[in-house]
Parts: sequence; C-alpha cells; structure tokens
Amino acid sequence: MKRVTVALLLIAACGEGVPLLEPIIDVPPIDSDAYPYGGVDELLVSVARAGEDVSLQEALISAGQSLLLSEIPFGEELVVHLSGRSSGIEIAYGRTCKVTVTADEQPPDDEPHLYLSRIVKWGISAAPSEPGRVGGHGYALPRGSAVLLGGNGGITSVERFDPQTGSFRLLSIQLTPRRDSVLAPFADGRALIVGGVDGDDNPVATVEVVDPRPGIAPAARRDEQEGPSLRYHAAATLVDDSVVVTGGIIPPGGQSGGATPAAWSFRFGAGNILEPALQLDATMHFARARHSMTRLGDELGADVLIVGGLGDTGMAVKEAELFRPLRESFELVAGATLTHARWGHAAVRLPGGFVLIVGGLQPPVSDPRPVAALELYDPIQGQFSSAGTLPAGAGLTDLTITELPDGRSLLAGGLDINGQPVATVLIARLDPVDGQVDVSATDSLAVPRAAHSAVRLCDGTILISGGTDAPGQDTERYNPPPEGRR
Amino acid sequence: MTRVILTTCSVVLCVLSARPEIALADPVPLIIVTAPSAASDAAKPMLDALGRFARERGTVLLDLSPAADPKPQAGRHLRRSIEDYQAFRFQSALENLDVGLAEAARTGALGLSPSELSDLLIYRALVLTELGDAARAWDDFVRAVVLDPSRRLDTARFPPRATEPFARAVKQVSQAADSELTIAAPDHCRVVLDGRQIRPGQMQPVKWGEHYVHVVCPERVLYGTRVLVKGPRRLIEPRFDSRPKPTLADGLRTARKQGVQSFLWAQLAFPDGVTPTLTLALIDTSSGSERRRVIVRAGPGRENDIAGAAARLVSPDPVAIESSPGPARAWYRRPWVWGIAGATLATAILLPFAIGSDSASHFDVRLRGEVPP
Repeated sequence: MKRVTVALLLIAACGEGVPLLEPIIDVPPIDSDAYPYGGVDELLVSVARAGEDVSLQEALISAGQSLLLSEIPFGEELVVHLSGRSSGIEIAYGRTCKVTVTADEQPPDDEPHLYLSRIVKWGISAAPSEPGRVGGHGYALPRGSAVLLGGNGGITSVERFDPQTGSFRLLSIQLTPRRDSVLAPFADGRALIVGGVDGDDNPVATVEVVDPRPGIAPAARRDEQEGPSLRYHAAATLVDDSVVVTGGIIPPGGQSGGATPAAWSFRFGAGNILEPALQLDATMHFARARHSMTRLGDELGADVLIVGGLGDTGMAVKEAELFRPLRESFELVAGATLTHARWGHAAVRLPGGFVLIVGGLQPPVSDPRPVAALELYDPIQGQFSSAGTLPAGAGLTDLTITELPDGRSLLAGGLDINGQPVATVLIARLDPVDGQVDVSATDSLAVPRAAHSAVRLCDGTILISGGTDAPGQDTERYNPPPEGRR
Repeated sequence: MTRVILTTCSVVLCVLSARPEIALADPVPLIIVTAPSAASDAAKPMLDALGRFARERGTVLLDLSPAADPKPQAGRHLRRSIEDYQAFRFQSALENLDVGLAEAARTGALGLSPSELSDLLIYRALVLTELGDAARAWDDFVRAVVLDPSRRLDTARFPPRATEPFARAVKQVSQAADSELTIAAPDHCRVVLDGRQIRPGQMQPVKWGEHYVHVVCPERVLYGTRVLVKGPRRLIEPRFDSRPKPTLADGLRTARKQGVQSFLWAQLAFPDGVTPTLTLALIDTSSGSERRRVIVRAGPGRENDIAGAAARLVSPDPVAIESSPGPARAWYRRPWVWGIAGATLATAILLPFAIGSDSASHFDVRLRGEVPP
C-alpha cells in the first residue's frame, strides 16, 4: 500500500497541472432591466474559436451548479460564451474578447472579464475617470478597447476602457484644449486630431497624434506639430492608412460662410513619424463645411464619398462628390444629388457599400431646421434615394451611429427636432431584398444624451459615454443580439 | 514540445524539397469558377479576388456555379400585409399573409426572425378578426403563441383586440403539454427552429403544435418544412439532396467552345463540411490534363491569398520557361508525390515521439465574479 501511495505521489509530482482560465462575470445592477439572472433557469457555457458557430466544449448548467467547463483543447483566439435561458429561450448573453491558451501561452494573469446582461438592453457600466465629457471623441483600438478623449469645456484627458478588465484607465496624456476638432483613427490604434478652436474661439493650428495603445513604452504618447487652422471640417482614413481632411471654415468665421474647398493629406513617414501636413493640389468642386466623408470600401484605393455641407456663400450643398485616392482627385458624381440639402448630418456605410445619410440641418441657414428624412446612396447607381423618415422623438443631430455585429446600425441619442437631448435608440437595417431601410426602436438610454461617444467593443457590446451631466450615468453598455458575435 | 517543432520542420522541409514545377509561359485567357450556390457568402471572397485578377489581366471570367436559391420573400409579404392592414385593405393583407405563410411552410421560415414568423400569424389573426372569422383568428393566435410562448405583445404596437386574445392564447398554451423535439443534422449544418438557430442534434423543449424547421448545409439543397409536433418527443431526420455540381468535363466543354488552349479551373468546396477551400488548377484544354494545382483557404479576408495563388499559378517561371506544355508526366515523377511521400515517412517516424513527450493539451474554464445568486 505504501509503495502504491509513493508511486501515486511521484506521478502527481511529475504531472503538470491543467491550466485554468477564470473569466470574471460582470453584470449590470440588480435593479436594472438589463440584469441578466431574473427568470433565468439555466446557463449555457461554451468555448469556441472566434468566428465559429461550433463550440469546442459546452455545458448546460442549472441553478446551483458551478460554472465549470473541462477538457477544452488549447487554441488561439478563443472566446468564452455565456447564455442565460428561460424555458429554453436565450434571454441573456455575454462573451469574453479573444483569449489564447496554448502550451506556450498560459491563461493571462489579468483574467478576462465577461459582460453578461439581457439581450437588447442598456445597462449602466463602469464609471469613467472624467465624468460629463461632451463633444469629445471616441474610437476603438484594434484589439477592441475604447478610447475616449478630449471634449468641450477644456477637457484634455484621455482614457481607455478595456473590456478585458471591465474598467477605465486614465492615461498620462493631456491634449491641447480644443473643440470642433476632427479625429481620424489609424489602423494600428493611433489617432490624429486636426483643427478646432480653443475656449475663446481662437483657432488651434496644430495636429496631435495620440497613441493610447496598451503596452506603449513608457506610457501612452502624444506628439504635436503644426497643422491647418480649420473648424467644421471632415476627415477620412484611407486604406493605405493615410488621412484626408477636407473643407471646413478657416477661423474666425461663422457657421454660415467662408468654407474652403481645400484638402490636406496626413501620413506617417520614415521612423513612423507623422509627416508635415500636405495640402493637395486638387480641391473639392464645392467649398464645404459641416459635411461628411465616408469611405466606400476596404480595398486599396477605395473612394471616399463627400456629402452635403455649407458652401462658401452659406448655401447648403446638394451635390455629392468622390475623393479618388489613387488619382488624388475629386470627381462630381453625375446625378448624385441630395433631395434634402443638409449639413451637420451623420453618414454610415451599410453592407453592400450603401451609405445612409441621417439627420442634420436644412436651410434656411438663418433658421435651420433638423431633417428627419433618411437618404441612401447607392454606390453602383451613383444616386441617392429616399429611405424613409426617422420617427418622432429620434435624435437628428449630435447623435451617434455604431455598426452592430450583425451588420445593422445603432442610432443613439442626439438632439431632437426641438433641439432637446433624447434617450431614443433606433436600429437601422438595410433590407437586402427590397433595398429599403427598416428603422425600429430598441431599449432607450437611461438618460438623454447628445454629443456623446459610442464605441463597439471587442465583445460586440456598444459602450456609450458622455453627452450628459447626470450623476452616475456617464457610461452605458448595450448588449446586441448574439447574431454575429461568435 | 521540441519534438513537435522538429516533426513540423521535417514535414515542411520534405514538402519544400520537392522540385518546383516548371511554369508555363502562355497567358491564361479564361478562368472558370464553380461554387455551391448555398455558399454564396463563402464564395464572395473567391469571386471578388478572381474577378479582380481577371480584370487586371484582361482575362474572361465565367461562373458555372448553379443558380442560387431564390431569396425568401416572406418578410416582404409581411411588411406589405402590415401596410395593407393599417390602410384597411384587409383582403389584400390576407392574400399577402397567406402567401408569406405558404412560403414559410415550404422553406421552414427561411429568412424570418422569430418575431417576424409569429407576426405573420398574429396579423393574419387580426385580419381574420376584421373579416369576422373569429374561429380561424383564434387558431392563428394559438399558433403564434406555440412558436414563442414567452412572447408578449407590445401594447404600443398592437391594439387591444390583438393583445387580449393573445394573452388568452398564452394562458391556454401554457397549460398545454410540452414535447421534446430533436433535429438530427451534421454538426456543421445550420439548424433553425421557429426562426432561432439551435445546435444540431440537441433536444429542444417545444409546445405541442406547428413548428417551422430549416436546415442549411454547404453543398446541400435547403431542407425546410413545417412540422406538427404531438406526443412527448419527436425526432426529425432531414433528407438532404446534393446540389448538382459542374464537373471538369463541363469546364472543358466551355473552354473548347471559347477556343482557348488552357484555362484556370477554380472550384470551391467544403472538404470538412465547414472550411471553404478553393482548388485552383491550370488545365490544358486539348488533353484535359491538369498542369498545376494550388489549394487555398477561401473564407472572408482571404482575397489576397486567392489572388496571389492565382498569380503564382499562371505566371511564367523566370528561370525555366517552356514554350509548350509537353506531354503529361507520369504520376510517380510528379514532385508533389515525392513531397507527400517524404512528409508521410517523416511523420510516421517522428509522430510517436512527439505525441509521447507532450504535456497537457487542454485547459479548464471556471467562471467567477457575479455568478447567479
């Protein structure tokens, strides 16, 4: 018996322990509609490769059982999924971002967080370090963290929300105070901030490159150099990772005049350092301010659609034009004319390369009225068509549009037809059969918001931050349907 | 672990040491592609990449893939019927709903979400109520609840004459018996029950009554049906028909009709039922023999790989260019045969060592944090 015991001990000592990944579940407050466990009678835990429907391992767990899953083969880019079911119906869902567990790469020390909440519900999320951020910028890093930066009222901080840790981190960067600037993210996670004015409406004639990526030594970086003085301009990041900035008003100048048709290009050069701003020889066919720029594809040389805006005489521009990166030229699109000339609108690329034009203001310039009509640009026909109308109570300006994992678009908050912030959230979907845009309402925000930021995180949830001064309500997180989130 | 690396290196070296095939000098004037029509999403990157490749070289691209299934129209009929209902055109609304439900029964509600599927029945019940047919209206309310017993109608969207009978139907259905429905299908297939995707072969609790099932498998014809579930359990074993697939003979016929000496034959398939794999082969039209072949993964984001593979396949070798293809080589003289033989030998010798020396190959997951109360 003694020999058997010794042998077993020796075997145990020689054997290596099975690695354990311990994701941490975060849930919204128990009193919120998004709380996931009410009515849930069983949970389905599964692990799958990112993007794959078939699970590597899964287990259906009833109340009281431990959430344990064993014998999962090593792999890269794995995702832990957790579904809450009521009578077999999935009512809550959450997933981690991608994790890698291999023989060479053990589970991370910072265990990944998993945000579990009711499907299609908003829940209050972790509080940011800088509350009340209005008019700032937000964008997603390549690995799916959210970066929030700047804002009106002299906010200069930069912070990062990491879904892997479920928390915000204030970075050691202070931006130049500015508003009405434009941000263009680069593929590697850096971002360019161009133009804007300070608190006294003086132009800020610099551009900043911020690098808020995790692991940047010694800390997050910010570089600043001279740039064009612009306000109400627009920017687009091209597939070759350069940025094109067009139009705007050279301050001082009112909203209604002095727009320029000029364009600038920004790109990184030797040593991965931003080269001086290059003003392009080509100019837009129309001077524009408060217009939109939307890249039409993801292939090298993809065109950029330029829509609307206020012209140099203060008249709204109806005609759309394309920026052709390979030719560095601007070309008018014959017949591509907005039914509702507008400025200050939002534009989003939909599946198939269509571009949806949402909201904005329409003439007269002296007394502008918000536009509820939606218009859809067809890149094949090169024409706009009417795509319906936003319902009453929808945000028409200063709203955010975020692509959902299933290809639909989430329209959140904004100012309504009376200029009041709203909590309305809509989902727009391009019907692939009849080409119509279906707009339907989904769960509303906890508080009305305008000029906020919205970012899609690596787990497919949407983080909305700022745009309100309501205490304790700075950040909300939307849990879209599980489709497209594998 | 070191031995695993050694094994891998040996296999790679064996394959790489195979003598490269001599490329052809003549340009390829024709590309023929085939893909299963059910796999249109997977086929798109291939078509995009080869389309661009063809445009850049002035090459003709022919797609011999079987025609895709017609797009489902039931959702469209639902939207039209709602418009008709709201405009008091009840007869037209009823016609649209009947057409939509007939299609749903035929396709197993392909293209419909759970709420759209039950909306078809709820709106037909509303229309029938308006037309004075209360009995059939009640049946449709019950059918709608059977599909989704947890659904509650939004009082802002539906009138009381819909929400009240619907609530009564919910009460009635909740007292009805449950059944266990299992749909047996291969793991890589997409199984959808009442508009919701479920895992193949997994038992689903459902209420007795009508349910809609469709199963989509790559390279197979859609299986769609409406089933009446009665009794404690029901097993559905779909019968799948294979899709007619163009063969190389079809490609050769097309190429000869076009009068070309050689062509690029691109065939998308799912060897393991899941992974889209593209086989590119350079075919000599007169002999029908295959000169060179490349196999690449063809899912989304692989466009550059596909275009690169096609370019390598047709580009002339700068060192040794043959002006004509010459006679076909015996199979045992082909380099890939030697490569595979070497790799198999190396694997057979080294794999037992590699397997024997490996430590744990799996891990466990334990969720903590805010677990269920």
